[in-house]
Amino acid sequence: MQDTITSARPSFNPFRAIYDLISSIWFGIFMMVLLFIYMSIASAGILYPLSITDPYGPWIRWIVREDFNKTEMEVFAWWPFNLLMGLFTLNMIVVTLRRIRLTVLNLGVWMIHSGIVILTLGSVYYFGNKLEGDAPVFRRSIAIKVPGAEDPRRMIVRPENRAFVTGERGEYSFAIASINPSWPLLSGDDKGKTACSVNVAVQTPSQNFIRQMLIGYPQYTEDIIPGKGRAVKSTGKKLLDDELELSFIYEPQTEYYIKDSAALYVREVGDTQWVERPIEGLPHYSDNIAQRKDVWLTRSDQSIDIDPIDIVVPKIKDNDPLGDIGVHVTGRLHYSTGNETRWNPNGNQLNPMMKVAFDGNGVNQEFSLFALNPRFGGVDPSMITYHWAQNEAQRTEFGASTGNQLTLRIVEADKSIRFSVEPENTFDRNKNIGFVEIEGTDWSYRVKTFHRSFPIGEGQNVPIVVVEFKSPERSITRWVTDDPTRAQDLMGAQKFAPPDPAVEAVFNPGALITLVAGPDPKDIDVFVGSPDDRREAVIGEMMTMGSGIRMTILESHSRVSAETRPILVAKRDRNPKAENKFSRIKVEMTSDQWSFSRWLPYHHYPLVNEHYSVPDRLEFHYQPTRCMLPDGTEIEMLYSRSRQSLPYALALEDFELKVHTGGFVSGNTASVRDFISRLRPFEEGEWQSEITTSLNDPATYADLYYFQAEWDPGNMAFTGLGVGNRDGVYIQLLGTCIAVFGMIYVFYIKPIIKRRRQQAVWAQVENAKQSTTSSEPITV
Amino acid sequence: MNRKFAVRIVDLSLVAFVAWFAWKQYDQRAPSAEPDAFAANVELEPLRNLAIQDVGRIKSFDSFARGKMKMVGGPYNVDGKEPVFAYLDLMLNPGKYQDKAIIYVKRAIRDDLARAMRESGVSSEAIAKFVKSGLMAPGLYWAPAMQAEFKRLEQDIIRTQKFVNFMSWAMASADAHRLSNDFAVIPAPNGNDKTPWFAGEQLWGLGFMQDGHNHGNDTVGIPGLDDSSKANITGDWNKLVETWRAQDPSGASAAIASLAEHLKAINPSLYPETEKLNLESTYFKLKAFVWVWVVYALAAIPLGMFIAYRIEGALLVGKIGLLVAFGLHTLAIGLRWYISGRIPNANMFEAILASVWFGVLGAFVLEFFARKTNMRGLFYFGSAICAMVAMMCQQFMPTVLKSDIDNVMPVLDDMWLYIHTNMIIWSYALIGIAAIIALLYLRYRLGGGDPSTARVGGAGSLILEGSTPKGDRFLVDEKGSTGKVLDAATMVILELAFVTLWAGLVMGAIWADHSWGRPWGWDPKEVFALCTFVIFIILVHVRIKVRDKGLWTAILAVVGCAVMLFNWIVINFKITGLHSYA
Repeated sequence: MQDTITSARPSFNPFRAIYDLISSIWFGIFMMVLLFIYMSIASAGILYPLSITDPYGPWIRWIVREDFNKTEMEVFAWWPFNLLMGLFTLNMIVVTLRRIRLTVLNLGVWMIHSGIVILTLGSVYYFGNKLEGDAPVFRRSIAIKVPGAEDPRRMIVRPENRAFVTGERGEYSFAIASINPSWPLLSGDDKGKTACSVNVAVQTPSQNFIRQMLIGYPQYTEDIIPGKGRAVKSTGKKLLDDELELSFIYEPQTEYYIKDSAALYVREVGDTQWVERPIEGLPHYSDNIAQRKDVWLTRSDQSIDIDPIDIVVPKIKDNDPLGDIGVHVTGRLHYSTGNETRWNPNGNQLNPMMKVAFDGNGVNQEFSLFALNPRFGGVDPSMITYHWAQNEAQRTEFGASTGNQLTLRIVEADKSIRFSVEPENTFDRNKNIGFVEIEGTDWSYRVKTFHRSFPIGEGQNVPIVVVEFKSPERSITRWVTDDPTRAQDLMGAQKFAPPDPAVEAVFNPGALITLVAGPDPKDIDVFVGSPDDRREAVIGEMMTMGSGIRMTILESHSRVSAETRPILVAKRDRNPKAENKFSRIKVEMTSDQWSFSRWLPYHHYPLVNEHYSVPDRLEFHYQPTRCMLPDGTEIEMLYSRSRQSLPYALALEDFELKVHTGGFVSGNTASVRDFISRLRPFEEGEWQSEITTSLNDPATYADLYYFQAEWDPGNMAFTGLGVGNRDGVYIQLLGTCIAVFGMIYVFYIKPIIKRRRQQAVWAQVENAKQSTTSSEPITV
Repeated sequence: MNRKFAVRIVDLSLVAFVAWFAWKQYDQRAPSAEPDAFAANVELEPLRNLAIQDVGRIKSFDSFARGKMKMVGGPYNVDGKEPVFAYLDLMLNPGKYQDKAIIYVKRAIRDDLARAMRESGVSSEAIAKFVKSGLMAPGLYWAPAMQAEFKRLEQDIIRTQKFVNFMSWAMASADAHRLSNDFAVIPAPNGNDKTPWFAGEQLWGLGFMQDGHNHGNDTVGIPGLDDSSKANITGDWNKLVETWRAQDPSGASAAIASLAEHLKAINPSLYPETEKLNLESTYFKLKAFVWVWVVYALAAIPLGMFIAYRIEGALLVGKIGLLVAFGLHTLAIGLRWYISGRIPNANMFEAILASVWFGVLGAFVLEFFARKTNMRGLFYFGSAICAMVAMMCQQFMPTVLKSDIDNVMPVLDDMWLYIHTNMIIWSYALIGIAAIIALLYLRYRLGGGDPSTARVGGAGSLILEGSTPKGDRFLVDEKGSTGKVLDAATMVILELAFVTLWAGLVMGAIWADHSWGRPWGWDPKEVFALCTFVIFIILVHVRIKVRDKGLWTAILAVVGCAVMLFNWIVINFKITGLHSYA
């Protein structure tokens, strides 16, 4: 064998290999297969029937992207997808340049490929700059001017909103009683049109009435007297109180809220402006807790992973009231219906608690009763009370307070009587219960009214008894509550005076049912109606209470301690349509020697105050959390979405609903044709002319795009605008159109050109054949 | 030998599938109704063409009752009775139906309910019937064991809640009070076209439910209704109730005729033309023409014979059959357009119907260009099969594909509904036709057909055919390879699908940009339309690279069709996105 020097064997060149790989069509096909798989799983996830043998049964959809905490937009902006798209585009560019000669025949392929490259580049620009959010715009506020009050008060027009104003003549209260978005105008030039009518219930220091106001028609404002109709009929004047001015003003929106974002808002209590701290990288779908005992679970078989997070929420504004206090988000719950306090029976301190259930007669309720903290369980103490006795003597003593007692005393004669009041033995015209003489005096009495729990405003309820005293000279109508200092005498229509000292009435409301336990929590006595009806209760056994109601004592403990945690709803009980609207984050703050930690509920919008909160709309929920900083400042916090300023304030001039035959049928969009919002931007110191947006017809104003996204079906008190930009959309459109033309060219124009060329060449050959006997071969 | 065996297996399983499907449909046919002298003799015609207001539309009572009764009985007629009769009988004689199996329950929860029925003492025979048909008696609904089961199933939001809701909705739809409340046949006396109509309930009050007579105290009254009209229709109604309950056909017929006349007279300006109402009733009486699939099937048989055996007469018969089917199909769409007053492609039922219509229309156009070639008949055949399958789905899945005519969703009410939607559904039909021809190719190859493929497929092969005496001749040459022809024909359709799908996607993006404020939002429906397109890009490039072009083209055409169907069926029904209405 001869020694040979291997010659001409090409050495391996890695750059060449990569270049060859990238310019291979197979590589492009492989990329497309990967893109197909990625897109399918990222979008639909994985679907499978719950039971393999029962394809008609329910199917399960495993949304894979949610396990990676990615939204639809995010999973298609994630690096693996970007990498695939990048390689695919690179491959397409290289293949086109290296393998496809730019000729007339190849023009189509060039157009398709370059169109898709342009589309991809346009998309990089578009998605890189995309801002997408939404903004609710309320239709109107009412400016309230009360004589003697300084600034006009603003009240947003939304159902159930209220305002209280103090003027020189006293207290005024205002409430939105009703909104009718399509009130027909019946008179004048505007007959036949409809307008949005708002009824405001007004209480002035001297009178109560309804003021009806029509948006856009201040001339038709008039007052209505409840039970009597329009004021003009009985008084000759349209307005009962000329000095009270109510007028509609715009309620402009100045910001919009970014889709799928998160932010913490803080302000000092009393401030109106929220200061934002964006929360970057908050998971979208997962439950993140640091320990099992952070939450209560709703199902016994519910599993939960310990998956803590720690996101620093930095200050971005100088006026941030938290200053340099470090804020961390250390937990997130995707679906929590709120906090719940549960009771641990093995506490250290005496805190007797009893759990009782009532049923029958349409009632089916459970209560927790706390002997040392009677109001805590939310039970009306005039119905049921729970006492903790140290000994037998105390038991009897507590039992004696069962049932109410009314004590009436005639001061002059020093005579008093005591009896219990039932709703049945109050005065009733039909039953003819008359006056009863008080022995040894010339007075007699009758109980006119007995109310176990009478609303006296601000959510407070008290028991009230109204007693009439009568002597030959005069009569006194006395209102008595459980608080003797609150007794008053009625002096005619709605006028009260301090109690007349001639008579005294003291009411002890007692309770219908008294429970006494102690020192053994299982040793329970029940007093029903009066101290004489005393029974022994056994835990878990049902007792008949009269009038068809039964009571069961479920538990009784002497030392319970409270534990309050948010509830984490089991995954299968979550309503998928609620998205993240029931989510909560845990905010922890620390500085030297001080720390604070609380779960905050999600807010769709960082509303300024409770007046913007719309009843029964989750999106307009308002529940800020308060916190005392180490320096004594009280602040409020709220977890919501990130905001962007609109370049100008935007007011809703009018919202119109177009309907099909028969008008709007509540809850059925098939009866609606279109939603139309007429908006007015505020620029250069004045309200600009209207811009209109409706379904399929968005408005563009100063580079932002507004489209009709939401509405308020009940009252049309606001519109929900989608707000966004669309930079790069025309580059995308250009790319797609070039590709369309390319396809038509490749499939239909190229063969025609080819056919013409072939025929031309053939004709040449034929001609050549005819002119010369020996022809040179021509290849086609 | 082996190959032949495999071919047999494939052919036999196809036949077996068709036989099994036919048997299944026969087995699950509606339970036959007992003959009923009253039902047979009462004249319902005037009632059928009564105008009634349903959400946002005035329809014929026949069309309305059909929709309402479908909510009760799902795919079955309530108690085997025709809907107009069933509506009135449920309203006037609710007690009669307490123990009749009329409430439709979806399959997913039938086994669970069967267990509860056993607990409630229902006979095992009746339970077996229920499991098969899904029909349950309203009286059973309130059995404690059933209620407990409903509660349990309702708590599982993800798996079973919606099926319980569906059934509760059926129960509610069969409720006499509800039927009476929905009976909005009285036009507003002084109203315009936006004024809601009044239900008889408003005038006759709830009183009639007990003893069939109007109790003056209960009535709310109808503003603007004059006393004589009021007396007329109240009298007619009371008479109808009385005679209906007494099962007196001639009395009830007279009351119906009189009521219909008096209702028309209340506000003639608001009352739609009788012809239009009549047309709507007729349209539904003809079952919305879904049976046209039979005509398509009858056309497909000779077309298939032509393709297999080249019998010229069969092509002619097939072509005529297809023309008849297409004519009826066009009539169905035209009627629906006229009745609804809007373009009929706004829900799943209409989209499917329109899609295959475009497919057949496209086939006629393509056949014109291919009339002198061996591709003849292939497009007819593919489109006939697609149309047949689509309309069979409409007939056999009436609870999924509802034929009721409703208004278009407001967000769809746009010019782009005409452009984007039609372009996309046309491309879907083309994808379906391509898959049918590709399946023919695969069957041909399985039977030992030669693997040669069209050098230039698609429109190119038609255009370049015979350009020079030495060029490709397989499309006109009598001895041309069947494989080449099938391959070229698949490509003709796929090229069109390729362009229309892409164009449809682009148009959708333009619409989405101004409707939802973004051209592309990675919504599942968008993504899977793109995924379908990706399959076809892969196809086009694989065709460049592989040797057995025909085989890979056919396989990928079928895969593309599967992805398209996944998008249309699974994404629509299992995954909700912004596109959830069509």
